[in-house]
Amino acid sequence: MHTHHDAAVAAMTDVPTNNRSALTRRAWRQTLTRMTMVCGVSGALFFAAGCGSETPMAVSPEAIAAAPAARAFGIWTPTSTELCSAEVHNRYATLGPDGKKYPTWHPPTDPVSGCSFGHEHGRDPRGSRLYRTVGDLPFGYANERLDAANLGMARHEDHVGHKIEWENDLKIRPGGNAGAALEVSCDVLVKLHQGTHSKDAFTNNLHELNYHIECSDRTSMHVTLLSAIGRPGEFVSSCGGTIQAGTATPANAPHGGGHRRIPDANCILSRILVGAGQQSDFGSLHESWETHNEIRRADGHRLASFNPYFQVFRPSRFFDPAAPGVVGRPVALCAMTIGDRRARGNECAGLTTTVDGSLLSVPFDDPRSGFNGARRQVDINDNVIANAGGPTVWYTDPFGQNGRPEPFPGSIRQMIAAINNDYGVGVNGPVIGAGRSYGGAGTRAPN
Amino acid sequence: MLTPHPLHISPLRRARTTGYRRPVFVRSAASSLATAAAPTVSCTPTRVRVRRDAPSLAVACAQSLLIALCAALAMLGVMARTLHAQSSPTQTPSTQAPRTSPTTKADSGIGAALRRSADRHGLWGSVGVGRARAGLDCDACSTSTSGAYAVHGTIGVRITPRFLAGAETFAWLDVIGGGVDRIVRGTHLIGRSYPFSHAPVFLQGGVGVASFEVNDGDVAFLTRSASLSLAAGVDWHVAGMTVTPTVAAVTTTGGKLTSDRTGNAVTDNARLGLLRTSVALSWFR
Repeated sequence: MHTHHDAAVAAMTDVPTNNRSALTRRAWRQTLTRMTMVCGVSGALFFAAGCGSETPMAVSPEAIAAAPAARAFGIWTPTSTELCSAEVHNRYATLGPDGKKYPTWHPPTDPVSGCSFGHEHGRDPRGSRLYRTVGDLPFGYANERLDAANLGMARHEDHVGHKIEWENDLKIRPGGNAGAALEVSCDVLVKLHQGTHSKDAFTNNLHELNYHIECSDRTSMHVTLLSAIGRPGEFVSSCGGTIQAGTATPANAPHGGGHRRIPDANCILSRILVGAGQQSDFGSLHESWETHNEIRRADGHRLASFNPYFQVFRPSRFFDPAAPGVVGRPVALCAMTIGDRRARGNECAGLTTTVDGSLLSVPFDDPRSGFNGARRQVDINDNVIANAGGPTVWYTDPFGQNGRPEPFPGSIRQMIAAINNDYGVGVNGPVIGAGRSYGGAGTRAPN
Repeated sequence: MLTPHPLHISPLRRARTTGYRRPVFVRSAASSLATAAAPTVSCTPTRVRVRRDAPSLAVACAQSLLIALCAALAMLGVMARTLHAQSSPTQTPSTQAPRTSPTTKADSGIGAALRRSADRHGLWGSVGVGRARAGLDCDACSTSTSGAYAVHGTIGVRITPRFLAGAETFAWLDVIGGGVDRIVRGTHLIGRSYPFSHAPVFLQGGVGVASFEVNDGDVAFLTRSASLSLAAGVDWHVAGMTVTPTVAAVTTTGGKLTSDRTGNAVTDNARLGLLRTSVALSWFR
């Protein structure tokens, strides 16, 4: 059994007291400042000495093996004999705050057996500074809590859609000229279930989001919820306009802010199938899930809000109402022609063959296809907290609502700093993950 | 105890050895000071919001000088009382003989004490301009500093031939271009020492309050806290004037950095740093 951090223990630990690295840095800076004052040399020392030896507490494999399985555990099965077995995959597990075992991050290739899982979960969270306090992320915990919340709805997601991204020391400059006086440094660790290979997101707006952020201006949030991204049953086309795609699961899913911007056939066919002398616009194969999330008390007071945007380049699907299952495959466009119009560009190189005079593309789940959703980025936008004087631990329902200081059935423990950090200037746009691709090593759709 | 020192270069020495006095002027000035320092007159500095759209250098300078004057008056009053109470027969001849009329009931109080102090020990003051670099240091502050013009004014009294005390106010005004104004303001009680008998070099230290404001016309961030200053300079007598080049550093102990739009603090420990070079015109009487 793979050894992972005890997420339950981590969740019960106050982040501020554990973040010794940050405290150490602050202590250094204070010491240096005092030295500066004594010497009469001022305003020129900005050092940060990052150090710390904290490591996640280990959970014994036996404890994980003995724990009851959550709904999300064990749902992945290999789609090809080339891939690792489910048994190998299930070794990557952790305990959730509810004591159940959940799947968690694993590398695209099992380092022990060398087999490929065919999918990836993004950046290895163990490199995040927040991993010391967050530990392994239990995939599907918020979905599990929805089952226990007695809200008359259920929402479970597949395994491969869980995508992690993080960055240490992300520099955030508030907007406006006055904001230039500030340079907030943040450690960010996020995970969204963002499946871009199936029809799920065409209609379903509830997706599990883990959002962890700690900043030098004392902003601190550790939040897990089901993010309602836009409205259920519909999405926004990459070319604009709302497309009614069907019935959501659950049908009574709450409406949320933001939207899921997904390419559809009408939009991309004209951009990718082009005439001679033109280049296909493969950039139109781009999904942007722009979330707006709020943590609210039971009385409606907004404790926190944050708006990360999750973007995927070259997904393995687009909405095509004429296709089986309403899912079109971008790689199939490489072999499609309409008159003299066809896909033109390097993206299709090596992805087609001619059989009996017919041009055929490789299957959508061929590892050679670059349309696998492995290139992503996250925009870190406003992180507003209005919790001055409040407790740092709140329990909310799986949607981040009805926050109370004490737990209740189906509640999720959220941690929010006891500050107000609305300065009257907005923060938009620091990007994490741009330029990274988690493909390779056998990664393929569905991913 | 006041003891003459053989200062042969400093204008301080010149003032004392030549017995340079302007009793009428001093009396007049002292009377004005007494009026200004009367308890019924409030000299409490109040925060004057600089216009966001077009910050005025003149307004900031005037405010700074006003703050300095108020602080100096208050401090001089206290010092004059103290000096008066500590006057002893062992004082040197140059300072023993009272140059003013005997104290009367109407002539008692702070004003009279100031006048006597000025008469015995001498006043001094200076006004300077220069360049300075300033910036904020906090966990959430930009590490960038910027350079801009700075002004400062000082007024005080000579405690001994080698030690002066007074008040200084200063401002640093990064208000030209850039779409954002950065302004540092502060007022310090200062002590200045001339440690060398053969050179008019001085060291100066001060304590007080300083603030840093950055304002783009839409939102402003402000921090204000106790501050310290250290300075070194030299008094040069040039063509009948005293020119005083100075290098000074100012830092604060750290305070909240708050947004004026929401009142929320970005940090509780924003520290100002300022390094200034300037040239001042000084007067010693």
